[in-house]
Amino acid sequence: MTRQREEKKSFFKLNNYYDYTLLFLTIFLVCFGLVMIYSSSSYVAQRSDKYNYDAAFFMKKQAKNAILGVILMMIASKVDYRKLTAQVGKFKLVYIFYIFCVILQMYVLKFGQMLNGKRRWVKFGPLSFQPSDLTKLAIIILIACLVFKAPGQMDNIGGFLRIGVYTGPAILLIAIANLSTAIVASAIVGGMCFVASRRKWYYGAALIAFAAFVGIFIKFFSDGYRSSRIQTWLNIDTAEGGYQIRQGLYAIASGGLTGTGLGDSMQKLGFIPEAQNDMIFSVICEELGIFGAIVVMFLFAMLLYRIYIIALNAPDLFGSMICVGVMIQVAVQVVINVAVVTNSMPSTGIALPFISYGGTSLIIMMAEIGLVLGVSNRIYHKRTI
Amino acid sequence: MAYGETSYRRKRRKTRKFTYKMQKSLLICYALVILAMVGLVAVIVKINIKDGDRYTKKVLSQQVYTSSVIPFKRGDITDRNGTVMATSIKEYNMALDPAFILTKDTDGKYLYKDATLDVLCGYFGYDRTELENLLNEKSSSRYIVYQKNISSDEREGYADYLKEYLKNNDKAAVKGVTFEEEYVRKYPLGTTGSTIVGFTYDKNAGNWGIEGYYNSKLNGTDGKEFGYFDSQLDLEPTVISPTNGNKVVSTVDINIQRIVEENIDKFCEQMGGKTVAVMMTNPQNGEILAMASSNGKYDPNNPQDCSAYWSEDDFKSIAYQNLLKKAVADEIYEEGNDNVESYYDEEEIKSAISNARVSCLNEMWRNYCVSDTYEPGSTYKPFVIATGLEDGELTGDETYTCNGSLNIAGANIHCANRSGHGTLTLEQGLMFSCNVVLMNVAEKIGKKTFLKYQNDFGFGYRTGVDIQGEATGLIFTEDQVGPQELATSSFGQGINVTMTQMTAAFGSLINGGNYYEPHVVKQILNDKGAVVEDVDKKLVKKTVSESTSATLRKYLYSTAKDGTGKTAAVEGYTIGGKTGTAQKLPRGNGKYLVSFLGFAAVEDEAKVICYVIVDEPNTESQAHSTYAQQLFSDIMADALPFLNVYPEGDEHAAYYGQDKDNTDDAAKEQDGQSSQDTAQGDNKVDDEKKTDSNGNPVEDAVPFESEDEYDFNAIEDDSTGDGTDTADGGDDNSGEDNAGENTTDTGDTTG
Repeated sequence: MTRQREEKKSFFKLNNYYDYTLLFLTIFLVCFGLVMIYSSSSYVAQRSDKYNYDAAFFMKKQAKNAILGVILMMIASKVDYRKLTAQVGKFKLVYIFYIFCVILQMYVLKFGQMLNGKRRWVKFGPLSFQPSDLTKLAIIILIACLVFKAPGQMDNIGGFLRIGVYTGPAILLIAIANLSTAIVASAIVGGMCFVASRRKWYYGAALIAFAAFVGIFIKFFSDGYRSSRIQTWLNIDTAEGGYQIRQGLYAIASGGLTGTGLGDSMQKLGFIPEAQNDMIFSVICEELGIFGAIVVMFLFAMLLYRIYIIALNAPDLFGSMICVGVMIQVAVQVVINVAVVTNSMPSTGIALPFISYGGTSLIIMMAEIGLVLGVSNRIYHKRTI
Repeated sequence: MAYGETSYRRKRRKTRKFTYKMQKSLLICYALVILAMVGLVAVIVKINIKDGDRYTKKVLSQQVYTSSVIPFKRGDITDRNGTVMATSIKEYNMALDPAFILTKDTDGKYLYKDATLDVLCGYFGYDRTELENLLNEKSSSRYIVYQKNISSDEREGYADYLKEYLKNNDKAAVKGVTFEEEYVRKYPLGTTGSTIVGFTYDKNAGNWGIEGYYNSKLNGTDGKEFGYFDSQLDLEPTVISPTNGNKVVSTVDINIQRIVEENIDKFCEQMGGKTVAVMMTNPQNGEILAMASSNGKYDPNNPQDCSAYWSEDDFKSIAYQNLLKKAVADEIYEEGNDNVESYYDEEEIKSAISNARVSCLNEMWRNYCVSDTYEPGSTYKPFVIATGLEDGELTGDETYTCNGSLNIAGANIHCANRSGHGTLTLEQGLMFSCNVVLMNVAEKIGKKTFLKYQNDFGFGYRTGVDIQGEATGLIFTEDQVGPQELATSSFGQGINVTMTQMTAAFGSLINGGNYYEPHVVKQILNDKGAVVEDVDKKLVKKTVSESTSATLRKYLYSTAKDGTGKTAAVEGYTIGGKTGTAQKLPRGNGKYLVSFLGFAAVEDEAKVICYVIVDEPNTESQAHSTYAQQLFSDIMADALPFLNVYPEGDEHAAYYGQDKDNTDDAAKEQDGQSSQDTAQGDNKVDDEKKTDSNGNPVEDAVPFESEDEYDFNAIEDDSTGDGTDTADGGDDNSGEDNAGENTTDTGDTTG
């Protein structure tokens, strides 16, 4: 207990590490995202009465969310993440949070706001958000907690089944409305288990099984909605449904080495639908060129590297696993998003972390970085100033 | 601190840490991610290399620039003093976008409809239900031109009204109303000078007159407005401004033009005729000051309206007549059956009516002075005398005896005065317009010289006047001219001329022999007012020498003062001129074209030529050039002060000012001779003697008057059959010469 008192005293002391590089990278990416959102959305926004003819409509909204995100990030980084495992009544806080998210997922399927034919949004007063983003966070913390409680279990089938049983309902609920997010959630679960487990061949087998499943699926159900996506992917130049991706490719290809210059994208002028969302990377490629794309990728690699370093140095397994989860989520989202935009895989709607327009995603993502920063802040580190 | 250390160690032992194996796994994950990123960068590079050009082209090709045309302003046409004859005024067309106006929100409520209707009906006073019905009817349309010709003021008023409305109704939005700018051609003078100015159709296509001839100069080039997007994504308009058309300054003086037209109108009220036409030019440079005719009066603002001349019924009757003729030609005509419907079906009748309409409109639009040809009659005589003097066949001292007719190659050709003028000098021959004198002169000159000088005076050729639709007229070729043709040509029958040819040639006759190209345009300015082109006087050729010109001036002065042209006198001015009374074809039908070709200010230099033609005056006895002379006198009296030619009172005879007394004596002498001759004529045949109300002699070239003189008629038919038809029907609308139509009745037998 004295330790806790000591820590309280040293709350602002210099001997606790804080990963300012990660903080800087995050804030830089968010600001860069704001610039790119303005660039890619202003033409459409200023021409539409839906957006009050305000060129900065999307940018302003995103900026508000970013401020909220920064606040949340700061709070998350300063509150001890270990409190998440604290007992509240009969249950641990982690489980309560997770169950709350599952209930929210169910609620959204029934009462959520319809958008493009899918119920994905929950509205509480002025606040509206996508619970699936929150659920991803809940899954990360849940698995981190489970691994932390019993790391040995990750080496046998029972442990896996337990994780499957725990996370399965949430992922299924996400998948109903939003398959892409479900894929990311699955990747997080898989990735975290991969890191925590010592039985790597499970994953080799799982990967082979998955590939076989995809192969069979394409072969026998190739006339369905999702296989048509694959058809589109293979014939992007001509396929009917490939308009958005095709326009994105035009944008990427016309960028060249250094791009057309910031703000000079032509494809954003109504050709790429909702260019500020999932397709924003194509506008980056067009305006800033291959050079800009590499810089953005490098920034993400740097960010991931910082999280990786924090994971290695975390004071406990719980913190490490949180870092692993966040790292995998960011990495998977970046890779899938860029892969979709470059038509390296069939199209699916995944936002580019920190950059794409989308309030919930940004805030939760920043809160996650906040958690990682919180972990970094618990690293005992005597500074030599 | 030892306690802390141990406590920490104790705690750490309990804490589960991220194991080495886990760290390795995470490193593998991280490496995989970096690998994927590198792979994706490679993909991006590949896309740029492989598809870069192809896709860049696609990007460019699918760009739709917002571009709009900025119309140019067609240049103004002004008279020589800057009075605007034609101008282009900016107006707006209002276009509606019904689909936009009828936009609904998610609850099915109209977003803009009410506000838009409020503003439109409120300002323009449209019927709301009517407009609403139209919108609903065309609800999917994106573009309807709802109203044309909205003035700039109205447009601004609307903008203010809209602002006010939006101020009072915060939430309202008015959408889908656009104004497109365009220029509309206006002719503020209306009918005045319409045949000179011409008109436009399809906005900027000029037709007839200056509008037609200078169409390309008056027109400019449309500008364009492109939209491109700057770094702030604002629509940065790239404007290629339009090049406005040039302004054309005419030589026409609108005051003179008005005087001319008013006097023609007055004359038409009093007597009228088939055509009354007047042309005024400046002989010193070929500038045309005014040209007008009684049958070319239309409002260029509404050129299709010819109700002043013809009704729909007229078109119908003209069409029916043409169809009957056609029926005869097609050999389906049945004797006694004039029912056109029985020969032709509805379609053909319809097209015939429309053709009749078009030809009537062309009739109205054409500029008589330029496009119509006729036989000039005695006004041609000065040219013949000038030919003789210039070529040396005449000295001016010759005397001739007129017995009322001359036998040419076996045919008697009459003088107007059947009883004969008696003995006449050359000058008196012109003064009293004696055909016999002129026939003698022509005979002496010979046909070669006659035709050579006819060419030199520009007859039979276009003058090059800058008005669309000039006719060439028609003259004899050398092998067509026999003695009789030569004889009749000497008094202006048998050749076809235009008024423009006459005034241009006459100008050279009295200005010292300089033939200037007639023109109606003085200057071309660009839209900033800088001179693009100065149309100076253009000397085409020398027709006669200065001395011949001086002699002619003197003869013409005498003619107007004491000869047949007395009626043309204008108080306070020295006038020179020649009368004309041309018998029309077929000879002896009692139809005449009377004219007066005169100029003012004989004394120092001729300032203005005025040529008046009255074709078939509305009277029993048409053969009086006094009708034209009176009109000439009226016009000149009104117009001369505007030309800075003022009456000179006592000193009016300044032309002979140095020896005024001598001049008076000479005039008296001539007077005496002429009256003597006239008296002789009186004694001979009373009924041939013609005097006007003032008692002035009005003999003119009326050689074939009596219908019982068949031989002459026969001769005349032959001699004039060589392609000399009156111009009235013989010209097609484009002003081409009438040779094609006339060759059909070319005769080859000559008495």
